[in-house]
Amino acid sequence: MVQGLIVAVIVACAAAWTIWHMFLRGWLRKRAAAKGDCGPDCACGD
Amino acid sequence: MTAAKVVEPVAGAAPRTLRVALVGNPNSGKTAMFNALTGSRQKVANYAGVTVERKEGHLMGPDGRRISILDLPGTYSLRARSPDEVITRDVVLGRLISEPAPDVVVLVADATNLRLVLRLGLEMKAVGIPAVVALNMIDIAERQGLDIDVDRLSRELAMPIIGTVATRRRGMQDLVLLIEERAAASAGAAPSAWREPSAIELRALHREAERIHKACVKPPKRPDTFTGRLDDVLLHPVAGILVLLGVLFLMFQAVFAWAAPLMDLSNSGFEALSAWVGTLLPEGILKSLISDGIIAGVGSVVVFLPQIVILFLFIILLEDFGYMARAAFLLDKIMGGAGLHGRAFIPLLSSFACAIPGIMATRVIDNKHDRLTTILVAPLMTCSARIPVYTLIISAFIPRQQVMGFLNLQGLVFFGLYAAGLVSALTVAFVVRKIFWRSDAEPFLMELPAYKTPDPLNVLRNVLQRAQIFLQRAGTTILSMMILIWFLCAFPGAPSGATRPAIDYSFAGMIGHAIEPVLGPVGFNWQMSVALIPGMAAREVAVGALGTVYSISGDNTSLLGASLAHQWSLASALAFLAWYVFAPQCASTLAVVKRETNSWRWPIIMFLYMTALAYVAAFIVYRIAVAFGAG
Repeated sequence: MVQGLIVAVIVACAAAWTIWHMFLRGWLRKRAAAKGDCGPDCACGD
Repeated sequence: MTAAKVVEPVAGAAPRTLRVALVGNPNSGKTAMFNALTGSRQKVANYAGVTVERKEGHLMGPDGRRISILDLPGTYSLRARSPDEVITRDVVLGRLISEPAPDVVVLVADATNLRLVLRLGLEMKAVGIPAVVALNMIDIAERQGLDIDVDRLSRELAMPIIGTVATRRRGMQDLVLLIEERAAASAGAAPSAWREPSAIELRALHREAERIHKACVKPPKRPDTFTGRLDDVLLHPVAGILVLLGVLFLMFQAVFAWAAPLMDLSNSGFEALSAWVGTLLPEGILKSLISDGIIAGVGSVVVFLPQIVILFLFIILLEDFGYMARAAFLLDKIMGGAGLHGRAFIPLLSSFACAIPGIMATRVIDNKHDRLTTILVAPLMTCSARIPVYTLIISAFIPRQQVMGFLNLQGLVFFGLYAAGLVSALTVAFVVRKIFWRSDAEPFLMELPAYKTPDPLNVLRNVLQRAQIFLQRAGTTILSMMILIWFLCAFPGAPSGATRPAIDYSFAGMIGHAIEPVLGPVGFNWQMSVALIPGMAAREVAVGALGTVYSISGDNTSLLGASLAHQWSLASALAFLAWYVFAPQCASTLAVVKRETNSWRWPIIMFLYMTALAYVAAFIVYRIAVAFGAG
């Protein structure tokens, strides 16, 4: 039971991180750049 | 009346950061100077809205004032032609909204080749930009016997000048003092407006630069014979190509021969780690996740670190020595024959590391068709993400034996795969130019830098940076993908009374079996088909995916290579290699192509043509291998 819970949390985190890293992050940065929110210290991938 | 606002430092408060920008021609040693000034205190990002790299670092001046250094893209003139040059011009002129104007600009000039940088210096002088000149590589100029009248040059450009050797950190302290003096002397001054010069003005500027060069730089009484003698051989149409092939060949041999002991050590380490975890945890899904998913998956990718480090060590050493520019010169004729512009060499060379910087580097190509052709073929160059795939299959299926008494067969195959990528890139470029864009090739002009002894610290820093990028990917993208692949391989479990291995009933098994009919004709089993899907995130993930799939399958062999040798036929393995020479599987590359071309058309064309090539190549290789009894 405990093992199942730990595994479920790890898999959920991995899924969330993958979605964030591959899709959401780029989209949010693109939006920020379009708004001109990207300052000189911006580390965006655009 | 408006006056420039000068901020007076408040007593006791820290003085404002001094902003300095490094400007200069390409290959003048700007980055070496940036590294020498800032050490490891660097931050790499991009300028907002564009894909031009922004490198900023900082140091503390002698009086404790913080000095921020910006390394700008190389340019020959303020009359910008490419997006990189536009950034340099706009930063120097204080036009970029997101970037405050620098207090002082350091014009980094290659002392052995001052002719072209003088024009840029005169342009800066005309608009009154507060600047100092760093006569870099002054040691090589002295060795070559060049006599530079520094005082007169300083008067002509109206800028203080200092001799430096960035790779040896010579002159850096004096340069910092000079920057501070210049900043103090020009505080509050703002450059006058700049406008694009007319053709007449440009010619006048060029004549003026020529006059200054003639007056200030006396050619050596005894010409440098070392560079000349070496170039006689290295740039020779036949001997030069043979040397180039020899260098590349040695590089790929070394990748295998030198890395083997380190890889064995790394493999043993992961095996020991897996065994240790086995003793700590009871049987169950958590142990399976850690052993079969994380350690087997991530470990099977991380073991290739030694090979990546050795490959980049060679590339960085050759670049620092000054050989890469010679290689570009030698290959220009071959590339021109295939319809590629000479400037495509650098993007294509960068693509050996990763197609993404390679595609971004195509901005140095002015002609739209030349640029698109280069973008389309850049992913065919063998990127570092393919190395784990190639080395895994080669190590498992190609015997570790000598050919002709001195050649390592595995290294030979590895070299062949790199050559296949290069030849296919040239062939595709040739076809694209013949079919779509028939136009005359533009001439290619480039400067050949003087030969230099590579700076060990600089080399070490760059190699470590590459290793760090690889490990970072292993610890983030690859780790998360491995956990998800483990989940797909482990769930749902086998039903009661199941006769086949549990993984056959898993989600991964279902996906693999669904794709298998399409990839069956090229010799791929369902496990190979499954591995191609996560490979879309990053090509090397395919290796980790195979590691997890075979680990969960309960294969008795502890090493992935041995598992594959046991489960795959030689024909399937060779087909897998052929697939990966052309494989379009990298979502990031396609995204960058979309961004760079501002259209979905080109990434779609790229994906379709590369998939077709991969399928056809794998099919042909598989069928030929089967015909020869390797099936």
